[in-house]
This record gives sequence, C-alpha cells and structure tokens, in this order.
Amino acid sequence: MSTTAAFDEELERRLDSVSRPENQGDPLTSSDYLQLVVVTLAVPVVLMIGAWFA
Amino acid sequence: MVRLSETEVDVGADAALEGSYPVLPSERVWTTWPMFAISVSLAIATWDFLIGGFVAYYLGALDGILVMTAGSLVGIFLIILVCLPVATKYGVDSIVSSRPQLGVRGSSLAMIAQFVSVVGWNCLLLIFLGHAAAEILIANGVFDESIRSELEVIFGLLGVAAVWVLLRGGPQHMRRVGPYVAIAIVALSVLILILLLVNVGPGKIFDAKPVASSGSRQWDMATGFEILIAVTLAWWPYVGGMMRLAPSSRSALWPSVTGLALAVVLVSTIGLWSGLAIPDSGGDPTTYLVELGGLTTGTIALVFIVLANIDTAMVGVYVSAIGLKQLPFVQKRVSWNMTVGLTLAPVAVVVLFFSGWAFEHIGTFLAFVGLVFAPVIGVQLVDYYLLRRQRLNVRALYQTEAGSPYYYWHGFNAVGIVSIGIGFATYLYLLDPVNFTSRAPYEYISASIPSGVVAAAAYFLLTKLVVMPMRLGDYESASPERSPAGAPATATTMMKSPEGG
Repeated sequence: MSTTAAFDEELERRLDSVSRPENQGDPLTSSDYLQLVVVTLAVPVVLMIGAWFA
Repeated sequence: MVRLSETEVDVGADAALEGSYPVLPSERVWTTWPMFAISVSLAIATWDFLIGGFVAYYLGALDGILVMTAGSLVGIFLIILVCLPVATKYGVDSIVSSRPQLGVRGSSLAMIAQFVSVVGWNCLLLIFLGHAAAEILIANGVFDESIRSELEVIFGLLGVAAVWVLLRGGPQHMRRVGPYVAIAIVALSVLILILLLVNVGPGKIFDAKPVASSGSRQWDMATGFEILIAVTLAWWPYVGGMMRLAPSSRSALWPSVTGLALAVVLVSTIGLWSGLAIPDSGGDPTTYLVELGGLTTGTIALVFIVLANIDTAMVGVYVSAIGLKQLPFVQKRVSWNMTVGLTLAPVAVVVLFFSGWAFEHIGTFLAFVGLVFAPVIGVQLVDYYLLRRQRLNVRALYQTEAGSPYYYWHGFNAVGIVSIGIGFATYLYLLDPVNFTSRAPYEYISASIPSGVVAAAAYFLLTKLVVMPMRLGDYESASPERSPAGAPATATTMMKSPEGG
C-alpha cells in the first residue's frame, strides 16, 4: 500500500466514523449555554459598571 | 471493509493528531485537567505583561482589572461559541471548520492568517525569552552589559531550538509537559505579584494615575476592553486545535473559560500594576525584576519568564504546524519534525535579523491580529448557528473537487470573503490599529465586536440573497427534515464509501 493510498483510506475511515452521531462528541446542553452567557456576558456588564464607578 | 494493521492505525492516528484529519473520540486525550493546564499555560505568557502595561496607559489599578476581566470574558464567550461545538463534535480544527464559510480553497486564507499570527506571537515570546535570559546572565555577572544585544539574539535562537526539540515527540509530549509547567507558572506568577505588592506597595499602585489617559473616560475604558477582546480572539487558531483533543464539549468548557480568560487577566494585572508603579517599564518585567526583588528573587522570576515562553511557544508552534498540514503536499510528504522546523524557520529569521525592529512594532502587530480574527469569527458564528443549524457536512470538509458541497466558486466562497472584508472596513473605520485613533461610536461599542457583527450580518444577507438561490454551500442539507442526525444526505453520495471500494 502506498503512503498516499494509506492516507486516503485513513481519511475515508475517519470520515465514515465521525459521520455517525454516536461517534460525535457530546454537545453543550441548554444549561451549559445559559451558564456560559451568565458568566461571560452578564458578569462583564456588571464589571464594566463597577469599573465606571471605581 | 477496509482493514488496517496495527501499524497503519498508528500512522492514521498520527495523521489525525499531527494533521488535519478528524480526531476520533478514542483519540481525544485531553480531559478536564490537561485541558485546564494547557489553557493556563497558553494564556500565561510574556505578552500578558505588555498587555497590562498597555492598559496602564489608560486605566488605573482597580478599574483596569475590572475592564480587562470583562473584555477577556466577552472574548472567550465568542471563542467558545465558534470553536468548541464544531471541534468536539467532529474532531476538526479551526482551519478545517472555516471551509463551509470560505470554501475548501478559501480556507487557506484562514490558514495564512493563522500562520502569520502564530509566527508573530512566537517572535514576541522568543525575543522576550532572549531578553530575560540575557538579563539573568548580566545581572549575575556572567557577561558584561556591552554584549546584551548579542546575548538576546543567541538565547532567542536557543529558545527556537528548545521548542523544536520538545515538539519532536508530538502532542502527547506536550500533554505530559504542559500540566507541570503550568503549575510552576501559576506559582511564580503569584510570587511576582507579591514581590510587586511588597516592594512597591499597594498604596502607590492604587494611587497611580493612568500613564497616558485620553481625557475621555469612555474612550479609555473602551480601549482597555478592546485590547483584551482582541487578544482573546487571536486564540481562535489555538483553541480549535486544542479542543478537538477533548472528549466532549462539557469537559472542555469550563477548563477553557477559566484557564484562558482568567489566567490572562492574572498575569496582565502584574503588567498593569507595574506599568502604573514604574511608568517607564511599560509593564515589561525584564526591566525591573532584579532591581525590585534583588538578585536571587529576580533571577528566579526571570527563569519563570523563560519557562513560560518556551511552553507557550510550544503550543503555538504545534497549532501552526497543524495549520501547515492542511496543505496536501505537507500532509502527505513532509514529516512532523520537518513541519515543525518550517513553522519555526521564520521565527528564527526574525530573532536573528529583526528582533529590534519586531520589538518596536509588536503593538501594531497585536492590533492587526485582533482586526483579522473578529470578522472571521462573526461569519463563522452566523453560518454555524443560524444558517446551518449546527450541522456540517463533515465529509464535504475534505472534498476539494469541483462541484463538491463547499467548493462554491473555484473553491472560494466569495460571499464569505467579501463579508470579512466588510468587517475589516468596519474595524478600520472605528479604530486605526496603528495609531489608536478612533471615530464615533468607538468609545461606546469598541471595534472588534461591531466589526464581527457587521461581517456576520453581511454574510447572512448575502448568503440568503446569492448563495442559497444558487444552491451552493450545501445549505439545504442543514434543514432538519433532510438531516435529522447530523449526517447530511449528501454524505454518502458525494464520495464512495470505503466498503464500496
């Protein structure tokens, strides 16, 4: 098997695998997104207000 | 069914981990702790001192910390949204994930931006490494002050060599080294902070006025906010490469947020406070550590800088080498060690011949990095979340032939490129990154966020008006009724399956 052919077959094997939902990483949940928004958007608003009056 | 021998499987895993192929769940080795440690070690670097020193021009000790934290958190919010779901779902890095927006050939523009930015970051790191190493030897009487410049270049080049040697083992080696270096870096960071508080005193630091306030409170706060957002957005290429090695989105979420966003603020605070207390330093600790802490403590702290920079440069070169592996010739013909060498070669040239020039112009470089990545991120966000409903045709990401789903026009998505250009223009209208002069309403909305929003809006409209009617970009397979499980209907028809031979 040539190197190029091995790489192409390897890519095929991987694409076949990750195309299946069971082989795809778990997504963030709604709760994760909510927590993310609170920590990285709501908190900065509070911090900027605090900085204005600091 | 294709059957591979054990050796061939190893080759395949290397091709994925050290190349652009999707990383399979079984190969995702960075769990919570390694991800946190790698994030911290990526965030903590010499450039943080300079960032804090820059903020000290406009903000004081307390408001500076608050504004830097806010900017860093908002920046990481965007980075997490754009990088994390795609990288952990499909195991692909940032460059591959830009193909649906830029086209299978157009993503090379993102690769060029990534390569140039990472080379720039590493030049900064390794020039500072040379400064710190030279200061250690001169302060301890090993060499005379008269050869400082030569020492800085020599140790900068030794830093390049050290990074190359450490990366010869691939990402697994980085995982083994990263956590331990990160622990040492955090401990030494706190030591420097204490040194500053004890020797300069909190009163002097908190009473100090900004070094070069514009006179407008809004403008000063917007600029501090903007700098931290731009710095955080510039992690786009790093974070995608890191997160595809995480087993799930949840396992990478908080380690990344805390490790990246808060660690950068911790070290930038040292730069901010030193910039306020010692205005001539500009936040650069190599100029004051020995004088402030004495020979022993100062030397230890300078060693911290050397270690931190090697570790951070290692991550950067790894990600940049992954970017180079997107080129088919490099992926198939060039070894991992040679690819790392190619990534480090321009850094070595800059360190050897242009270190003084690069040092003087690094502020401009940093601003341009922020300018480049904000519109790219805006376009990716609107495409992935609104237009594609969080579904990509993963097979199409690797199809380069004419007529393939992400081929668009000759491999380039003109709509994506034009939208990013509109974002660039918006940024440049609001803020001149060279002179830091601005136009309204910059002082209320900064520059990176609006440039990303405008680029996203332009992409959304142009895609609806031009791309979708022409049935390009595989948007129809993103509709729920066509692809209920994230496997586009075209996936099995566009390329032959391994079983099909």
